[in-house]
Amino acid sequence: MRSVYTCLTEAHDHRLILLAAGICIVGVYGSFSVAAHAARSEGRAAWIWGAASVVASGCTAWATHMVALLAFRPGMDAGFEPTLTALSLLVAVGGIGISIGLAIGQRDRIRRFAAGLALGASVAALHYLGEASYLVTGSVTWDPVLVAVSLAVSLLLFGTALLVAGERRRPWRRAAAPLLLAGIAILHVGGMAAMTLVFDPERPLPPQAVAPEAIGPVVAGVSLALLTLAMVGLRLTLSARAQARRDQERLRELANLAVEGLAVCDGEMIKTANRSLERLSGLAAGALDGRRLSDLLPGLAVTALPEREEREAELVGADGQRVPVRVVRSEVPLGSGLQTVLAIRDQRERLRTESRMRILAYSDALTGLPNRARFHDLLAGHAEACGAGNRAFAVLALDLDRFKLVNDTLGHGLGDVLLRKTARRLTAALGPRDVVARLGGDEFAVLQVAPTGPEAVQALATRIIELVGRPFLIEGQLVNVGASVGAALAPADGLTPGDLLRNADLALYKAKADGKGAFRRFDPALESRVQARRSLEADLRRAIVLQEFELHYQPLVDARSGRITAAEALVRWRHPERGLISPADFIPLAEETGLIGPLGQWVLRTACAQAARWPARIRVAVNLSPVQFRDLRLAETVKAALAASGLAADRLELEITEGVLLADEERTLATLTRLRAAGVGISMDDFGTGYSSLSYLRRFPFDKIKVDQSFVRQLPGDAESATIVRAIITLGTCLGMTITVEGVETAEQFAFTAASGCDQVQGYHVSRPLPVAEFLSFVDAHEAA
Amino acid sequence: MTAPDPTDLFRIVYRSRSALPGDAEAVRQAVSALVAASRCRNAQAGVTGALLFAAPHVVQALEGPAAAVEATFDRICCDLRHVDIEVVECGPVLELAFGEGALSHVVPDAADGAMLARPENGIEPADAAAAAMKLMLTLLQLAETGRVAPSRPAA
Repeated sequence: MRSVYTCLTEAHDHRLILLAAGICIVGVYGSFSVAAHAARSEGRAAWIWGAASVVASGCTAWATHMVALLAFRPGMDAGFEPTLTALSLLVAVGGIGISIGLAIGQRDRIRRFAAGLALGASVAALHYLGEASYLVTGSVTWDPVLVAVSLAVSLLLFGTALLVAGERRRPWRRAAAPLLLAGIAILHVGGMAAMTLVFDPERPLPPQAVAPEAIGPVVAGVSLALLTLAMVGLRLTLSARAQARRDQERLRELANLAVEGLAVCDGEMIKTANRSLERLSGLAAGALDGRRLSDLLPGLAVTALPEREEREAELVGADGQRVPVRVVRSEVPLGSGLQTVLAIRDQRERLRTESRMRILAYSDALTGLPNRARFHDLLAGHAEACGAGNRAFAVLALDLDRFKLVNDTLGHGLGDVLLRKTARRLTAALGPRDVVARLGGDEFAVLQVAPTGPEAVQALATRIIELVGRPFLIEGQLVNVGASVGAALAPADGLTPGDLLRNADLALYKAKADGKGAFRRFDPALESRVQARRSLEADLRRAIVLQEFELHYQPLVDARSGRITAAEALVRWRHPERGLISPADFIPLAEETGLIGPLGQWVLRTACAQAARWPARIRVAVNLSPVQFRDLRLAETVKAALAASGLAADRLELEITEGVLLADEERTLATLTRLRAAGVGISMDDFGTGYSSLSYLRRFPFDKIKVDQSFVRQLPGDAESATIVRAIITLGTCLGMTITVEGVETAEQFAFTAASGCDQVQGYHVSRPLPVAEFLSFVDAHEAA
Repeated sequence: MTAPDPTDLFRIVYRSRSALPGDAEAVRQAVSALVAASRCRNAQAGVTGALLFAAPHVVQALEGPAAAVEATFDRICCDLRHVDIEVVECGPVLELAFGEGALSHVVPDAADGAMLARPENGIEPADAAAAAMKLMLTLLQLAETGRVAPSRPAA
């Protein structure tokens, strides 16, 4: 009797079928969760977890297969061929391993397809080996066409499943699992349908066949192992999820810490934003999620923005206010894939700082007016624009009269207030297009745009002088300053900013020299004077280096005996081109420029050195400028000159004018006292002119008074001069001071002064100033006479 | 207007000469406009005072907190519509002398104006200014007793 059974139609044990399904689900879950853990792990752990996943999936396939076979009730004795059964397990594990090895991390579609084929082949091998190991008391026949067709279709499905599994696009990827399932189903159903069992008691089970009851525990053991693995996988997955949540939370906290606004976007839609962006936009927490980017950043095509390139944009806040921002787009791998992250940087602070820096760089912090640099720029721009059209404009330079005094007496704080108030008054004096700048200190400059003529410049200067000349009320105190103004008119008085400013400055100097509160326009004569002075100054510097100076000596004789008692050293400048230059032409300049210091030292040293070789009764007189008294080392300089020359201190007389005593009297008196203590004689020169305060004579015991030559010139005819000279002589004699009369040119004058009781006489009547050699000859001749 | 702090009362009185252009009527109108504007600003700043205008002479007294008086005087000194500003009196005071109005405007009659102009010849300018101030005070007192009609802001 032959019974034909087909697997599909025969009864199965449904509980075991359910168990097979259960094992399949548990095994697949375990395999995949362990595989996911392998993907998260690194190094050796990744390999171990990966291998476990491969083994688990092989076991799953095998165990499912085996339980399904056990569920089969063919209605005859059945058994398993142990070698093939074991082999089928190995093939399943190995095939899946090879397939995964081929597919993992591959972008190459052909390789993925090949991996799919390998997977299909291994599952097919598992299936058919399993079938082959299933022994029944009878025979098994196959429908080759069905086997071939189902194999081919399922292999194709396997290949396609793995192919799409590696695709980028999600819908494709989602198709992978159903395709795989379909492949397995077709393989399985096809294989089962193609198999026909024929009961044949003549063909008993071979002796090596293992009874289903015996294979059951093995399968159960494998299944239990899979269940354990699934538990492990579950645990791993849960902890991985918790970790991911923590990471995400940390990332969010980090993003909230960022100063920049950050938005994670899905295309045009904001998925989430950090707190900085919420603050920047003025929206409440979470209010940005789900908004369109174009609402926040209108006019900015975010998707067209090149990656990592900053773009200027405007952000529209909750209240409609526009905030200048910079936007950077970047694609960041977040979670499952790449996401667009926008970094939005607030530019308000930077723009404010920049504009503040511009203001600071180009304006004067105290008054808020443009500063020197800005004024130069304005002037240069204006000069260029006007130069082309030959249009007129004017530059006015001005400073405050008596500002230093205010600053020194009232303090810098009030000085600053004064400058601020001055700036306001200057602004009030200007025309609508004129510009005033503070160049520094109390120096201001005005650019007058398009004056109708010199009268308009004069009118502006007058307004400035009027306004600045008005009293200032500062913290309850009335302060009076004034302004002096100099102007240069382009194009007549210069074209370049430098020339115009310099010429306006020259005019200002002239205005100040002519009296404060005045206005002067630039005059070319001013410039030539300045040029002449400048070249003289250069010459003077050179002359000091090259020692182009020489000393002439004018003898002083005793009024009674007529003997030479002293000589006044007078400096002469032998200019290589201009010849001998009188001291009146260069001493004031030397005093102004400070060159009097080295020049005075030279005079002192030379006079001492030359006088040291004269007869011992002849003393030498040297003039000291008030400027030399500002040098605290003057007394030491004098002592050094004496020491170097070997001249006795009592043979040196220093002549000073009252100008020396006018400034810083205390210090001057101290210096004079020290010189006197060293044995040097001190004379009061040019007495009778200037203040000629008698208190000078009381304050300091001069050795000698020299009566100014202006009194002598009218002698003896002018009765008043005669009286004055006599009075001074009497005064000096009473104070115990020697009296010298200067400028004695005639015999009558000499006779008068001698008769009046004067001690010494100096002047052309005795001798003009002589070069040192001539002076010595004169002394010799005089002695011989 | 807040009550002035008696410890910080300051007064400045100055004299100047109008540089307003135009004929007598135009000048009179300009002065009225100026006074109206000053009243408004002074009231805001808490400054009180009086202004006497006898063409072309101006005498103005400002009283109030020192800082406010200083700011007002600064503004006046930036104005080119008058020239030859000369301060007659300046310093802290204990009480207001020129009333509590933002700016009493006194228009003297011709005879008073002549009094103001007269000291120009022969007397030191400072004395003349002091005389002008006394005149202004007198006129204000007369106004209070109703003998002279001052121009006051419309109530």
